[in-house]
Amino acid sequence: MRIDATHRPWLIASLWILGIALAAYVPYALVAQHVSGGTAVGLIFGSIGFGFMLFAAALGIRKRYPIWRIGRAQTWMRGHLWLGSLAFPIILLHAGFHFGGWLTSLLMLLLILVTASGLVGAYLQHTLPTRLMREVAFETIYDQVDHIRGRLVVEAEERVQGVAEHLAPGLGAGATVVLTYIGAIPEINTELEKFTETFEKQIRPWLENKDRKSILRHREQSVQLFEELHRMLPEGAWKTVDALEEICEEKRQLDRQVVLHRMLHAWLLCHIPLSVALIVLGFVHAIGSLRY
Amino acid sequence: MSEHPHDKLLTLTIDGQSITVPHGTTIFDAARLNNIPIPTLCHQQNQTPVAVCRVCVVDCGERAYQAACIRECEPDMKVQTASPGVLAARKTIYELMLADHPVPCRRQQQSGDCELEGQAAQAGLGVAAGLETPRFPKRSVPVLLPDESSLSIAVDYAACILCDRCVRGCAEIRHNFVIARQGKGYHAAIAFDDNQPMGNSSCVSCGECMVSCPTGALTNRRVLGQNLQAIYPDAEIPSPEELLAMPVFHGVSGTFLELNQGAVIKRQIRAGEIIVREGENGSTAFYVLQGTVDIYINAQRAHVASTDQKRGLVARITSKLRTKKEHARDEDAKDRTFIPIDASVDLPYDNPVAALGAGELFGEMTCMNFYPRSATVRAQTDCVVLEMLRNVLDVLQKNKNFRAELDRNYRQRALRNHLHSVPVFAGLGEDFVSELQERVELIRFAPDQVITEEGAVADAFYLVRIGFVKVSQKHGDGEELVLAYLPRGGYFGEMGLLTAGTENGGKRNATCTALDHVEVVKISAEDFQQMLERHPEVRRKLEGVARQRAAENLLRQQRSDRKQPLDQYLAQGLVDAQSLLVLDLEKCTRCDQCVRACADAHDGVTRLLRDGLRFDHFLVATSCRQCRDPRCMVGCPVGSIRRRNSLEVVIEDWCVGCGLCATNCPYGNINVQEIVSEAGGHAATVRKATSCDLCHDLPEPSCVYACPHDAAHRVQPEVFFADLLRSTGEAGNAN
Amino acid sequence: MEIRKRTSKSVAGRHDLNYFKKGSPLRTWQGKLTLLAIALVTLWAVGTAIFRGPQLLSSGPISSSHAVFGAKCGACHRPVQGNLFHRAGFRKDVPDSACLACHAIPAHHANQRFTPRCSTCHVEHTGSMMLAHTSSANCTQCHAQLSTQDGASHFVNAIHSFVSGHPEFAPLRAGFADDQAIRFAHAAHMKHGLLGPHGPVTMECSDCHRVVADQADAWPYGAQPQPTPYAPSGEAGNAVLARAMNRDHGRAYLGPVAYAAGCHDCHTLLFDNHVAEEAPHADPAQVRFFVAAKIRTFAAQHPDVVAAEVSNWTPEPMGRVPRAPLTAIPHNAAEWVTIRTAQAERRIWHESCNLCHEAQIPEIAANATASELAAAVANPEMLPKLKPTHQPARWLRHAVFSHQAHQSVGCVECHTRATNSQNASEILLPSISTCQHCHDGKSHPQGPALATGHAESGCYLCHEYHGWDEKGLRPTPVKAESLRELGVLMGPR
Repeated sequence: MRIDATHRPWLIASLWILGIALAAYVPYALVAQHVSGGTAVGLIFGSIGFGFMLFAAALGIRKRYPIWRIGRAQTWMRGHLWLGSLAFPIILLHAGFHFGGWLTSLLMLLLILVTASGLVGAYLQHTLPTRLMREVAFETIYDQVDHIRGRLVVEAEERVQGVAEHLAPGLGAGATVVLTYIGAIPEINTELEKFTETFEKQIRPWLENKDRKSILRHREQSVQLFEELHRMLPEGAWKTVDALEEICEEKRQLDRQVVLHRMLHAWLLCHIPLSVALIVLGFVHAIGSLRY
Repeated sequence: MSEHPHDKLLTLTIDGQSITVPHGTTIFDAARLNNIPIPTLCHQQNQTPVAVCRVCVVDCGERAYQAACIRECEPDMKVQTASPGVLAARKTIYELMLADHPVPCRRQQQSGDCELEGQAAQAGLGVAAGLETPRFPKRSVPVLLPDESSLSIAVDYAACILCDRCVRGCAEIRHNFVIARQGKGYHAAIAFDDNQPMGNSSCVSCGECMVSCPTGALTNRRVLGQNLQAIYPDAEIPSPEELLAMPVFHGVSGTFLELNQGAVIKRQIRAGEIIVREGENGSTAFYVLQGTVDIYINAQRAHVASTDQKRGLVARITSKLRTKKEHARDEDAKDRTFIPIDASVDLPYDNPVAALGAGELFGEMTCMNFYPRSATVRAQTDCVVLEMLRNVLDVLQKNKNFRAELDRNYRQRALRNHLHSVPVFAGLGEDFVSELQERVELIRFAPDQVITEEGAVADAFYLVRIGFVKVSQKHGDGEELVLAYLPRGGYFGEMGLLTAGTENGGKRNATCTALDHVEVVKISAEDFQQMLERHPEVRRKLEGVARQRAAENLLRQQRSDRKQPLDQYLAQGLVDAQSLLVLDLEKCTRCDQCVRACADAHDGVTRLLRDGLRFDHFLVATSCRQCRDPRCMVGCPVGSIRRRNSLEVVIEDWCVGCGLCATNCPYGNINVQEIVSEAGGHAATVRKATSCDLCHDLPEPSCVYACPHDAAHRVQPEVFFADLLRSTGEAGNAN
Repeated sequence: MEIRKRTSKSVAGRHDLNYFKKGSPLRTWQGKLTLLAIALVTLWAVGTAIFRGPQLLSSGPISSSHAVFGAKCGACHRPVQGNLFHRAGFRKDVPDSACLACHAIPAHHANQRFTPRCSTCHVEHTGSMMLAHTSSANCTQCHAQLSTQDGASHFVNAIHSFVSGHPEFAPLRAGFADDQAIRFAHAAHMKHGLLGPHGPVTMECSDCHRVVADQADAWPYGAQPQPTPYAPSGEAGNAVLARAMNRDHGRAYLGPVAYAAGCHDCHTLLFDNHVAEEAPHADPAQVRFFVAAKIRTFAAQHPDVVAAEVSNWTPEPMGRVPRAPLTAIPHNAAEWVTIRTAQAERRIWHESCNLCHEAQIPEIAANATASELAAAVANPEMLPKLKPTHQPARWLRHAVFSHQAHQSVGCVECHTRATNSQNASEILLPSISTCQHCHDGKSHPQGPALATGHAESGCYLCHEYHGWDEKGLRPTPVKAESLRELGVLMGPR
């Protein structure tokens, strides 16, 4: 989520909560010789912090049932961001800046990891969408990228097959029949063969993602390749070549999209499982420490 | 040869056979009369020989082989029709022709009687299996793409051998003079009128050319899989003779009618019987031979009932609060006094019933464009109707006699209603309409045919009677920018006429193209001006509309290359949208939560695709835009797609899944889904069209509600993008 | 470029409408990893539960003294006796019975208004090594508004913390006087270049005041060490005091300054010029006996010296304490011994004892005859009467203190008046305000003491709730029986 001016109320509220928590903690820490999660204040801090964590985790459930009318998802997301971040300092106050036993140490470690990954994620999701927008004009749905790539291959094939028609254009059904006169029917079979070969050996494998090291990965080299094709083929075929170039550009962008999209979402692979672990252990800790 | 009178006989020897024939007889005829077969392609008995195919060459003992079809016999001539030399020459001709001929061609596929392929096979060329070692390999040569614009005849230029049989058939036999030759060298081809697609030409679909053609170049377009007799076993199949006897089929090739037996049937219908029901899918049109039919709309008011009323008190109050804003549409709807239907009459809104008598046609739209039936037709008296498929209808519609009748009917019966059905013309006086009746022209256009060209002098005003007209402008770089789609009842051409006399006025400011089979009423500029003079209120209304359109176009007129957003805005048709689902790409993390929400809100079927074109830093998602002019709604067979009192276009659950709306939507926002329904007590896969309904029973669309990143918004484009557009517009002005 | 036309419709038409139902790799991995995380965590929890017992649930490390219980949570967290509600409820608190099973604990005061649970003050699982280090709040909950079952308490009843409401130390309060019998001026002894046995000496506090453990060490400037171990007697004989004195391995308290270790090297007990030995620092009777014996022995061993002195008698020299010399003249060896003994006694009583001790010394008349002198030195009545001395080891009766803990601070930084003190009866105990200088109540409860400049100010630092010392008790050793019952001790009974 982009952190912009609309977050101001949340920021202020969060600072308030943090301030109140600190204001409550300082005298407590000064007065109480013994600061830990077990004291009344500690328990309150723990409950609040765990509450924040539960709320943050509830976003996952909220997202699973997007149409429940239980508050707009973006409100939840803002809450997730701010309260989730608050959970960390609150839990620090709960623990009185101590690690405690095995379980509590692990919990603290998890909390640090979860908070850190969350912050990283927030940063990524703040910055990467703009990059995606700028760098990937042909962006499509991530899950459909393979599908679209497949279509690009098909489209490229069709274009290449139709190159002869582009050389001898004639318009058929529909439009008013206009014959495009071309000066001569060039005997360009060798060039066509070469073109077809370039397509089969270089372009198609790359489009099919079989040749991952193709020079087509690089825009400059791709431009060069298609420049050559332009020089080789008569003007009638340029449309096809241009279309192929654009198909390659689209493929290139889709590859880029995949990379960026993974960056955009891969951190969740860390964040979510750790959060779940945190919550589970949090419950163990809560129940255990309240019972014993 | 003039020295030899035709009644004098002469004797010659053909293949060693002594034959006596009158002077002036061609070798071909002489041989034919004596059962000596000479193969030919370009020649037919009933046509003037032109000797273009040279297949009929024979050895007359002269310096060169002669074409038998045109070479007249001479006394004591010794003719060899099958000498090795002749056979070799003939074979070479076949080979050359086959080099440019698709094997098997369409005729060969249909009926196996492609003459070229048949003769080549007889001449020993392995045509069917392809020549083993063709001496003349196929090359890429310029050839026109197949022309399927005619509903009854398919044109495949690749199979044409330029024998001219069709040209002569059209001109000599039917006197239609539609087909001719054009071009030379590789570009030589037959052409219709001044090189129009066949369907756009003045062709009357008599079928003569098709009957004449020796190859697959001109073939019959049967309506595949449709034999009306299979549907109505009791119905009578009228013989070609019977049909030809009817004036409306006058001039049609008998062979053609024979070929299409079963594509037209004659049905006896008892009084009270329902012929077609509104909303049904169909592919036939009806021509009333005897009797009268009632045409009416049965469930027209059913649409009005809104689900809003069924809900609780609170919901009713809130929904009332909400819908108050949307009165504009309702006002629009109140202006409608006539419902356009698929016949030569429009139905009055208040009492949607009309009668059609003998000689009238209904169901054209269904038949030609596969729109669903727009009204129910019931026999008022016992009647006889011809039910026909589109190829026959095409023949009928192009028939001069029939057109004259149709024109007359329209003028007399429908024009008034039609004019009145257009809100701006509602005030036209009766006298003026009567005057106009005689002067309007009814013109048909084939799909993609241009009606008016941008920049041309405005000479007429048009009213759309059937079909859809696309209004577009040419963009700076040749890009076409679609401004609007005009449905039945739409009108265009007023802008050019209203500005006539001013500087730069009087010119078409947009190109209007037929989207499908369109019929328009053309009112000449003169009559139009007269109408404006006599009916100032019409002028005022029209000018109002023109101003509105001009205001909408204002943005377009500030076009410049520097104004990317504006161009995009127009090119993407955003100006037409009332509500857009836009995703802020700087916020969107592509989590697909919106799609999931949509699917969840709609029983697992998403009505939203997170892909589409971009505008500025927004993605205009694929989700219904609630267009001002919802093309999707026209033609729904069952009337399940409709606009609610508020702006949402909803598809009700009785959708039959015909997909017409999906096809109509220019933005791909309607999809036909296969869903498993258990409505009937048993699970069955049914097809339903789906479109965003703005989650109208919820306060906010689910997609927007579920977006965790504040990226998805449902917006009014002109408000949401106002700043952006204004700033670019100003930038343009400054330059 | 835009050779391939992209329209909304063509873009939208490319997609499979149900793609989102097929799951994407990222989502699938999310699910998988989440399940994995749950599995791992559960595995860890269960594994820890199996191999380490419920230690998993421990909210923190157990104190070292209870570490022996390990994972036997039930040893302390005993099931709550009571109805179902209670049993099903929290078991967070440890009942006193669990503590009392091992520890026999005296009550603070018999008449206190209430007795909190053990676990209220002794909080476990905090990693603290000292369970006795309890929160001050536990004390002030009563002492801030002290009242007893019998009504008002005679103790200060509004102690909120060490810095607020705590009274001045009792010895420094008005009405307390140290009835001191030693004549001693710290000022005189802290002078620079004091004459020592071997030359000038500048003394430090610790030359005399040593912690109990170092009591045996000799005065550093002396001729020879005279180890005289400290043997408490009287008040000092109290075993409890001894134990208290032995806090911090005997480095908490300063032992009394003994003559042998502190004074002897300068303030010798020589009594006769002929006798090199000094009289013992002991009871006057013993001194008299020692002196007499020594002089007699000298006379027996050196008859020639005696004979010479009898024949040529030099009167008694003037002592440091001015008084009339004895006029009696010896006529024989026996008289020589008598007169010489009387001279020695006079010298030792007046010049040595009376220097430090307040003593009542019976005066012998200067013109007493030899026979009168003989009667006087034999007469117990003529022995000086010394006022008994007393050096309290602990001045603070209700609190404990450790010099060891304060060794980083110079003596005079607290005992500011020590170098100027002219009178031993001056109480040089620092005032509470001196303590509060560091123990200012501002330190972090468990933080480092001096690094911050704020030392702890918890009650537990000085006071013992259970009052082991005052009650003359020792913390009872943990009963082995109990440990066996808990299964901690495995050995045979």
